[in-house]
Amino acid sequence: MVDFIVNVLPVQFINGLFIAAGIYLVASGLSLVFGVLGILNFAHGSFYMYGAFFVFTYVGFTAGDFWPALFVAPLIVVVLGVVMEVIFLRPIYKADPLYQLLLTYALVLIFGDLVKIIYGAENLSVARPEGFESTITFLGSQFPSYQIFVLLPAGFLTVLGLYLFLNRTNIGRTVRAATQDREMIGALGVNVRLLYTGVFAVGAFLGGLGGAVLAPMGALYPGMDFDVIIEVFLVVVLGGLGSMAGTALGALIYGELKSFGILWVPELESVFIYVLMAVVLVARPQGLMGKQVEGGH
Amino acid sequence: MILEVNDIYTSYGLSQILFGISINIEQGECVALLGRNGVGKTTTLRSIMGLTAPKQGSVVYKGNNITGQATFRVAKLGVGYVPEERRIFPDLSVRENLETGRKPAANGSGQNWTIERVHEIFPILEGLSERKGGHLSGGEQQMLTVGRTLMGNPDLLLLDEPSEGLAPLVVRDLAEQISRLKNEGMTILLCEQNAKFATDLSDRAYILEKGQVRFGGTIDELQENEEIRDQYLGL
Amino acid sequence: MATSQDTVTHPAGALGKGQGALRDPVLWGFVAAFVLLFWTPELIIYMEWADFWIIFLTEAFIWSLFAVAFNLLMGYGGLISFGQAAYLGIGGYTTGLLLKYLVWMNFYVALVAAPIFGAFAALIIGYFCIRRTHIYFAILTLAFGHIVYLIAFKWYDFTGGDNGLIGVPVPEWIKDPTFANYYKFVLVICLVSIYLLWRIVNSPFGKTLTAIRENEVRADFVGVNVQRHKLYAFMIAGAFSALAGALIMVNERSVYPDLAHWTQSTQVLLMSLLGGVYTFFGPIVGAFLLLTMDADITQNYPEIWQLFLGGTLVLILFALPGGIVGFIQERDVNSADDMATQMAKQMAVFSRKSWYFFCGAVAFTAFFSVLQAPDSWWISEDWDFELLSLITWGIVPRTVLQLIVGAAVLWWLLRGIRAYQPLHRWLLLAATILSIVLHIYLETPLSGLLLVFLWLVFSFYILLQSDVRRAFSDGVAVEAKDAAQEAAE
Repeated sequence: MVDFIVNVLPVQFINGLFIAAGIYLVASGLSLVFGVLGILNFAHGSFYMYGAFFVFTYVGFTAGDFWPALFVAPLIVVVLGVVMEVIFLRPIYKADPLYQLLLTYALVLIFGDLVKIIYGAENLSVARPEGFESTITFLGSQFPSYQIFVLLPAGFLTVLGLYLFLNRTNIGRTVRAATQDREMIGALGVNVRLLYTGVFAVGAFLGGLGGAVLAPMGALYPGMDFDVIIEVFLVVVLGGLGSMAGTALGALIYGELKSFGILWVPELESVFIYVLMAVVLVARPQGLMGKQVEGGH
Repeated sequence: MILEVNDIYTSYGLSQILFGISINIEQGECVALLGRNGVGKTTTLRSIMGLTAPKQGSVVYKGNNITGQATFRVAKLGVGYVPEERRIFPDLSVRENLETGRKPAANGSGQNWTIERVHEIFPILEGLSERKGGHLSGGEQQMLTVGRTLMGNPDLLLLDEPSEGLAPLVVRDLAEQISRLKNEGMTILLCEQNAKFATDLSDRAYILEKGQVRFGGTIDELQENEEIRDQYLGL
Repeated sequence: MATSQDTVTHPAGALGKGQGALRDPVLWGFVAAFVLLFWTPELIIYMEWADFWIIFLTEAFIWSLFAVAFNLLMGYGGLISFGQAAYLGIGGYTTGLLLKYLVWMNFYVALVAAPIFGAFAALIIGYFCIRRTHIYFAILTLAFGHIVYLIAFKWYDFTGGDNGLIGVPVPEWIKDPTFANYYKFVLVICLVSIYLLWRIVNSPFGKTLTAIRENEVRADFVGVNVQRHKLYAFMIAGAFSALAGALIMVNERSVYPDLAHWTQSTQVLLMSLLGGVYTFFGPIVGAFLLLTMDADITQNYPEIWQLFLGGTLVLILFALPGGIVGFIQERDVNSADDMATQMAKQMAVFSRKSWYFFCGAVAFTAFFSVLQAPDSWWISEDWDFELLSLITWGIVPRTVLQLIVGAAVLWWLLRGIRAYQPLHRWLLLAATILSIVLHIYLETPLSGLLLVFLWLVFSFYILLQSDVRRAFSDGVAVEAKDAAQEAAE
């Protein structure tokens, strides 16, 4: 027991933070877009996947120059996202939510196969940047230095950045207002279309950034989009759809649960999080920090 | 003529609401739009704002044809819309609500609203600056909605049912505040079911029924026309 | 959905309870379908591709059952489940595990266990999902569907993990070399199940479900137990989906986690949308259409299958919100018009849609030819020239020829139809039959063939309507002539 508290607990906790930071990077964009546009973007996982694959391409072209890719890859994803928003989403903002769901779902299928066509079906990998290949010893345990020095700060900075953006800037305030009453924002002289495109671009950027940051930590493969989107859905449903703070909390719970779950039932650790989600939904249907009872209408 | 609405027809999907509404407002006037629930008052305002574009007819504001324009463009030209049911942003503080409404005045407008000036008109908001919009009383929310729209420096204020659901004392306060705005030279189009409240404030009035204008004239003419008063206002 | 057509209303729905099922014409339709299809293996046994067709039809019937069960949720309940494949997997694994590990297990008992377990799983999962509307429902069904997949994929000791469950023992009679026995078995089970589902959607329960879809608040207000109805629908859909899963398992004598994978949920979703969500039989048409297109594509380009599904989904959402069956049934007629105007409008719609079908059939045939034989663009250069061989002609010349000749004939026929010339009505029906025969003879890709077949169904459906028949035989034609020209402009 003492051994557990001293040796295992802190290590697993930190590992949980890694998972949480990774999933938060991706989930925050989805949550933001849902909050403002009211659209649950299935294709958000595709943004994540493209972020990762674009890093692969960039690193390949520049022969190992990793850091600029962290910004370049998400920016290309933003272009993709804006094109998608203008062509496919603009005509359907007033349509039935089911219709919107199906449309973004269709785009997942298209994006997924395009990756297969461009990059092939094999697993690819991105090398960790120079100086971050090894591990560091911390609390008597070894941790990958990339996770400690890149992933965790990236997750933390995203939380902080989004908080400051939403609460301390004029645009952020307008965005928050738009989550509460979209029509009214237009009547106050805000170009809602532009705001939507902007928010969608930010969401796409976050998705792409998540993929870019996580790229050196695992294999890149077609289908990673779908694997991540299910986890992201779990996190946002747990935290409350559209609530940014809820997403952060959901990510934290998800990460820790997964990290400790591996200890006990390594084969079925994912089941834990589903059970938790089921419990939360029975007790608090709107999620831990969600406000409205229903996300749709 | 600051606003001219010419013979507009508007519908929501399949149900047509407006059947040829024409109204106009001079600079500095307060005009009431009266009628029972569901006669098309709100739809008229929404048509002006471009929230629900009219199928036919035109809306001209200060010489610009704004029919079916994007709502934010209409707002930027200087039309301020105060919706019914006080649609404040419940999770934003009172100050943030006001800040959200801030935008520069349209060209050639002398408006220059600040939070301080809004506080002058609605002193009660000053003490509530940090409170969440959703935690205000109905009257306070109504004042906040008007204040928020004023922050956008409008030349024409569209007020939709400001007195709805408020206690008589609060309505009296609100009437005072609106009349003060009017005295400062604000042009106002006031939709109301509460005819007493509206006629006290207004120079002229239109009466709507079933999506059409039944009467248009000064308040004095309205007071003299017993038939109209009995039939539509129940004064 | 963007357009909301009425659900298929049929005399059966209006029948009183006491009048019995025997007077239900749909039942006789099912019996007719059964008689026709039951002897198919004997009919085609000497054909070159007999095995392929029997296996194809077996799969198509199973997927039709799955799609109709799924559409009970989507079309009638307004609940889009993104994880319906979970029940396919549950059914497959239930029967598979029972047969594999319990030596004494009776085949039929194991098969019946599938829908029971499916309904039970749907009860548990549904308990968490159905109280949430739309977006939450979509997310939750997706998540729970994924967990079923994960369990099948990761629990090696029990399910065999990604190695699957192979070599499941099945009775000897299933293993006949012509596949006909199992085909007949599946046909009977699927037809009975689909008929049961038909009774269910036309029962008071089904009507209530539709009422809930239309307006949940109002249904709740008039005292309907909304949650319970949705849960029952979810369980029924789960049970029949699981049955379909078990049938698929028996067909392959093995089951892999892929059966529960989300891609299967996508396919069934698309089948419903493609065939027509607000129709009962639409999903069956969708299932056949999608499997045909699958057969065309997977031969050479399996890697673009998802891309193709996604593209089709976008197309349906923007261009064909009622699905194929909705497209066929939709009649753009205003009841306020007089008879002649109604007829003229209907004929204008008929012409327009016929052109859509024509363009669709040509485009599909060309597109899938490219996929099937990507090298034969131009007229073949070796000189054993065959007049009626696709390969010899090449894709481009043939498509151009098809387009020119077909368009000329169709234009001439439709002009006659618009003028109510009785002969043209028959000529047009004959032309569609002829083009089917031609497609079969030329062995064009199946998708083009199926589209022509749907066109034939469409033409029959419209041109044999009683009012249209009368218009052609009576004097309405003369009266309507001017209106027809007007409507054309």
